[in-house]
Amino acid sequence: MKKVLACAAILVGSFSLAANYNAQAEKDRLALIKYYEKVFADPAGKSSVYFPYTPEKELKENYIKGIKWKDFVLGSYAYAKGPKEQYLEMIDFPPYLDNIDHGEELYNSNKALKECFPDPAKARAKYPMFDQKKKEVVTLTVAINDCLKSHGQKPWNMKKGDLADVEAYFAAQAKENGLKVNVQIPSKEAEDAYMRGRKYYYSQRGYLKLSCANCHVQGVGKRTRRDYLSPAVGQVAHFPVYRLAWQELGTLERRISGCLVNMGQKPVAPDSKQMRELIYFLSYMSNGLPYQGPDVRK
Amino acid sequence: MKQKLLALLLAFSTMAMYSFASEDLMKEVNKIDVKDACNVQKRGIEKVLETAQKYNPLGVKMGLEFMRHKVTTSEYIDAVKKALKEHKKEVSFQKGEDQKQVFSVEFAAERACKFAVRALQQVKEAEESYRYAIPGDKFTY
Repeated sequence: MKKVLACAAILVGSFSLAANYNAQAEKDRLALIKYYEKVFADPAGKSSVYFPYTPEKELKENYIKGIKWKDFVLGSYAYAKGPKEQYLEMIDFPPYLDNIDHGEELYNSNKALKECFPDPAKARAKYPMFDQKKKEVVTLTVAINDCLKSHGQKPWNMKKGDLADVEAYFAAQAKENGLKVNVQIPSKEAEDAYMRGRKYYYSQRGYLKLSCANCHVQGVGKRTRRDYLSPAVGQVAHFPVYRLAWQELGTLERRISGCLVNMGQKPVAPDSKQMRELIYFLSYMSNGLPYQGPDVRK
Repeated sequence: MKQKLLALLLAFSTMAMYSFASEDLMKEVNKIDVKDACNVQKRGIEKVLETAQKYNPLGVKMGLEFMRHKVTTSEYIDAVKKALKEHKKEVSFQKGEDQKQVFSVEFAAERACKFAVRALQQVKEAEESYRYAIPGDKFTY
């Protein structure tokens, strides 16, 4: 009896310890959602608090109010009326269909990819993950190139091209199967990686001294020229994206690099520790949202 | 076996030395008044360039190097060095199809220095401020 009780205690103890690694991240995620929901509860009514420089007429006419957590999967199209209408028209004939087909062809013709990622839908949902053996975060982009290298093949460009197309195929499969973002933090090392990613996201950097959060948390919903800034929650769920500005499909790493350049910094490498941990943090913030990728953005 | 052990010891001590040197540099950089340290008129262009060259490698290593209109701090430093060697008064950068960027050597040196120093100073500033931007932590709204 004592042995059974001891075993049960160990089990309960280890379970609570395991759950604890997610605790901070979960707290952050819920607080971020609560904040966004508050910002978009009634933009015109709260204009002096969240949108002090936006004319009231614009807030009344251009913003959708009462946005809830699941709506954020659409990014800024969740609350920006005009852009949402344009987006809905764009996805009638999405520009990324050829990329999905090409990604499927690449996947089916490459033995290495089939071996490494036997289920394309699950491949999307598995990453980013914390590799307990290597003690590092592995993103989907890094996993694809690691797979190619381990099979004696040349790695692909991590920002666009074949890799983005394969990711588009994986994402489309995940979307079709109704999979949701489900990032786990299984250990202390993983929690440390998450915390570094979190710190990177909120730290001001570059000659403009901006942080990711300046635009996507404190600046969420505000307009920069004709575009509306998107929330951090939901961002990773729709990648890879076909950006009209690029006129092609690109990976999440490419988009983040663009942000870093806009902040006045030389972007870190797509497979660098900083980039991986930033994606780990960002992905956790989208936990529970369905995969929407590939998608189209301005 | 002995050789392997020696190599390991050497690698470890080099790493430790570099890490101590980096720590010292980080402590030192936070005491700098960037406007004074990077003032060409006050300190002379060579001294200002020296300051940029001293701090930039650590910024590069830490992934913090600044970049403005596709020109990095390292590129500003190299261009100034080259201009001084060739006794030129201006430095220029041509990035792809973008408009050519032309600066006086003094301006480029000052920018290189400010970029190199500020990139490192921001580390401590961020350490003290980042939590004030996190909902659920110190960010109030």
